[in-house]
Amino acid sequence: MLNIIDLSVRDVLQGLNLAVKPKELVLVVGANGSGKTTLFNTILGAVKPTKGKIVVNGKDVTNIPQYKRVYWISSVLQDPRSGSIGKMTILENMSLAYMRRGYKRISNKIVNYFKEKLSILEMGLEYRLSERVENLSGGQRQALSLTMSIADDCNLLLLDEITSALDPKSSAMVMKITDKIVKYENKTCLLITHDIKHINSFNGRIFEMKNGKLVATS
Amino acid sequence: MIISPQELLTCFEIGIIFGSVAVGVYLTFRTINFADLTCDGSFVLGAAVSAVLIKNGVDPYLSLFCSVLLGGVAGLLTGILNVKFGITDLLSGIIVAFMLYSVNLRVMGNSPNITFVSSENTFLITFPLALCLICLLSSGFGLKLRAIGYNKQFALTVGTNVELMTIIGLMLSNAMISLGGGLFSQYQGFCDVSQGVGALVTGLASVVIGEKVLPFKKEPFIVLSCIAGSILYRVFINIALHSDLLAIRTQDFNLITGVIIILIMIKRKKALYA
Repeated sequence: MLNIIDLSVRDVLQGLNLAVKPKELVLVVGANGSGKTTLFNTILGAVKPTKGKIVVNGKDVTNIPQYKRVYWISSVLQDPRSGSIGKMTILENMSLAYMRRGYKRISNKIVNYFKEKLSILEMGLEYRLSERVENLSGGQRQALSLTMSIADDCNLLLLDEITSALDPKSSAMVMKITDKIVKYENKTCLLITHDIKHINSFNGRIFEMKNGKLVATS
Repeated sequence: MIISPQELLTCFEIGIIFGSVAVGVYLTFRTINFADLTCDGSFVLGAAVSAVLIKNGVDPYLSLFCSVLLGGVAGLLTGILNVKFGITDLLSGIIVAFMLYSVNLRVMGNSPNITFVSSENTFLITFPLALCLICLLSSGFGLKLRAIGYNKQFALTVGTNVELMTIIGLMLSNAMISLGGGLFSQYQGFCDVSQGVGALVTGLASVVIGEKVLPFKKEPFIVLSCIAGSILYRVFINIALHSDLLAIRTQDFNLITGVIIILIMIKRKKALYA
């Protein structure tokens, strides 16, 4: 599903290798400054690698620009405010996420599809489609971002410290939703975090970033 | 009476003409969040192209079409300077507006002004174009265009080509502003190379007034607010200039415009903290 081959970014990432299988959940942990976010941004296309290859679903995406790479990779960022647009409604945000693979028209059928996806959150957001996102709490916004990341058929999900800007309660809720999404939506997921407490409740492979390389810990 | 029916009619007509300028300013300053100063140059470009073509016997509507096209080219140039060469938004707009002064003089045959006769009431074309723009902003394309103004990082993560969208936004904006220039020159039967000075401020004032008096929840409809704001702006100015009590004269026009914008902005800020 995701193959990272000999990836280097200046002196931050050094010949990094990683293979993630379809429907697998992989956790990357590491201290601040270890290069986790650089890895995330490089896979996403925001940072250009100095060496190496990134292959998603058999397609070499290394030289594909970020806005085109979203065809294969969807992502959720650290800050809940940067993962959605507060001044737009929930429906408009979901539509934007859905259109990333080139779909143009949002029909009633698609709106119902959005409602179905939002109902996974069990927050009642499916009844608040015309409400502006700025009215939602940080946890709700991050949960919405997660749902937006599965709004289309994109199979690889990149999550970068998605709970770091949230309080413990919201953080637990968002992690529960992430588990649910990976389990029921059959997504391949790469979760990057510095929060060690995720490790205990995690069922999957765990890697640690050390000196710009990934070391398997379990 | 504060304002006569004839003056009110004039306010409506000029308000509608400058409505397209306001819509253009709205597209850059609000929709794509780009402080574009090309406006003062593209306004005159539209006026000059329309004036020269009509003087040479071209149909007024066709001349407006040419104004719109060339306005779009001015926006394209600003966009390329910003997106491809990394020049800041303010500076790229200033450079293009600065260069357009020479271009406009060339278009006008090296004469600083042109007089001509146009009997067509072309200014009403603003409305169908505004409706087209509302449809465009309501579409998936419009959603992506608005997204880059709010959050470029997010726009990228949902697959928006931010660079291309910025250029398209600037082209649309300057096309509308250039249309305003063309309409204004046809309305007056006159075009002057320096008539673009203050077009941006007028457009901004109209946007601010429009958003205040007609705050549509659905964002694309703010295009209509801009036109309404432009008409109201003309009415305010007219009232202010005809007020004997304040002893305001025509030369105080810029002062009055500035005061109106400041008053509305202050009210806006107070409302934000209320």
